Amino acid sequence: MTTYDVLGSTITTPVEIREARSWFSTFAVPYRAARDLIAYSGLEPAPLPGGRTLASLGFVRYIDGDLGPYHEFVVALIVRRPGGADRKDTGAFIHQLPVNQPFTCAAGRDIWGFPKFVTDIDIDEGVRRDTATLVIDGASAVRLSIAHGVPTRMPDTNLDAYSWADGTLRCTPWRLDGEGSRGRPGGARVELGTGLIADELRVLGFPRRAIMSGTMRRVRMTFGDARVVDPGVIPTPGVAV
Amino acid sequence: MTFRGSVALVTGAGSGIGLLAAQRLAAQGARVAALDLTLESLEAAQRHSPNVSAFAADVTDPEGLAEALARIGDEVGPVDRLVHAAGICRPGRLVEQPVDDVARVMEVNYLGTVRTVAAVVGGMVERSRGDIVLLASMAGWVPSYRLGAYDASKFAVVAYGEVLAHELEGTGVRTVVVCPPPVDTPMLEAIEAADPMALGGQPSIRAAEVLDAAERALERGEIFAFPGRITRSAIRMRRIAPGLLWKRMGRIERGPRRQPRHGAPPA
Repeated sequence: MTTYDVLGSTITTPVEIREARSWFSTFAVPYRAARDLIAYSGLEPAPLPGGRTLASLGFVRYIDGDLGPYHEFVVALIVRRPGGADRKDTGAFIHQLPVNQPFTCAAGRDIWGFPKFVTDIDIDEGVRRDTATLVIDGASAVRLSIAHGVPTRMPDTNLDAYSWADGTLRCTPWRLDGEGSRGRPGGARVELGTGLIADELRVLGFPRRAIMSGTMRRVRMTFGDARVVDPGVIPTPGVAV
Repeated sequence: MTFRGSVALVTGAGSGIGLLAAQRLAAQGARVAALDLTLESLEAAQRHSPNVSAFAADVTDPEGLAEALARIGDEVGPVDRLVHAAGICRPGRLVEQPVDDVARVMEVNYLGTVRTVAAVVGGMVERSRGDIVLLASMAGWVPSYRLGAYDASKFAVVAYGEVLAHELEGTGVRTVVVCPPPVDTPMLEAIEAADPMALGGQPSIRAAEVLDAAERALERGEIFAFPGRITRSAIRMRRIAPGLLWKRMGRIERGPRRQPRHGAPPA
């Protein structure tokens, strides 16, 4: 348990999110392009057969939590865990994390080194699909639309979320569980606009078909203290086949 | 739907459905004026959310309310969306309930609605845009034992909202009257604490479901939103077979034991 002063307000870890809604879709993207994109972090994507790796796009509507209400857009890659035993030992590297409120931005950067910045994120919940539009500098950067799938079971999840800020790699234990989980194969539509994030996604071969997509109507999360990861323990890159 | 740059007024924003509505609108980028009886009660709505401003007023105090609404107009801006969630419930049997209690429920739930709507609807019509979300209740269609005062006030809100919606047709101002069954909120807990029999074992739903239903109804242009699985059928039953419904509620009210038949020995 650690206490932080964020914009004059006290925040204590573990930070709790009592209610949120989340939408995620997973894509297979070219390994080399992904490796080059996150080379700055010192991490390596987790390789898949066929010279591919997994990328995840998502958006979250935080409703009740320690960081206030806000929207978030996520660009993440599945990486090998530094010092991990084998290639199945993975974590999620948070590459881009725009949010639409200043408090959570300051907290995210100060406490965990998450790459948050403030911009417009609209979330439109429709009858058949829900759509998030990330607007940067007044122009649409990415529009991600996720179809409602069929009810699925979602086990409680413990994840390692990696983030890189100012030359430091950090790892944050991220716990989430929830109800109202739905999913389906495919199910995502990605439209790219202008700007850095859109260009990065083009390099990864977007717009492309998702492997699977899902939503969770009611998610609870806790974020523990970030621990600084020593790049020295990062294993030498495996062979990407 | 995006609320970026628009102004929302949420009454009853200190807890329950109003609190969640304020938090959601704030997440969506609206400038939110959160109103409740005291500023202290609005701390949760304001927490870590710079786009939520707190205003204290009692919706039954015409002067205080007018003053707060004038300040909201000046400091936050003209209201594009009203979520009127301020409401109270005083359970009790009408034959025993003090008249003042019944009057207070009517003041808050019905006249509070009228006063708040009256203060914002003119500006909305002028600007040809606006959403009015009124929290009524399934109790505004289906009366039940021990909730007579509340039922009457919500029947009034339902009638008021229906007429208002029709008057506003074609003006660009949308109205939805939300009629949920019991909702998991501090108000529900208070009702259960005051009179465990008042709800007759009805299952409750979550505040999020109520707001989702309101949003869907607005999009579809429907006047009423009926969140919850059994809400519509309960209303239909009250219309078609009120006697049967009261019989069933009476069984719950009087408990599972049968009344001894005339002449039969006591059980």
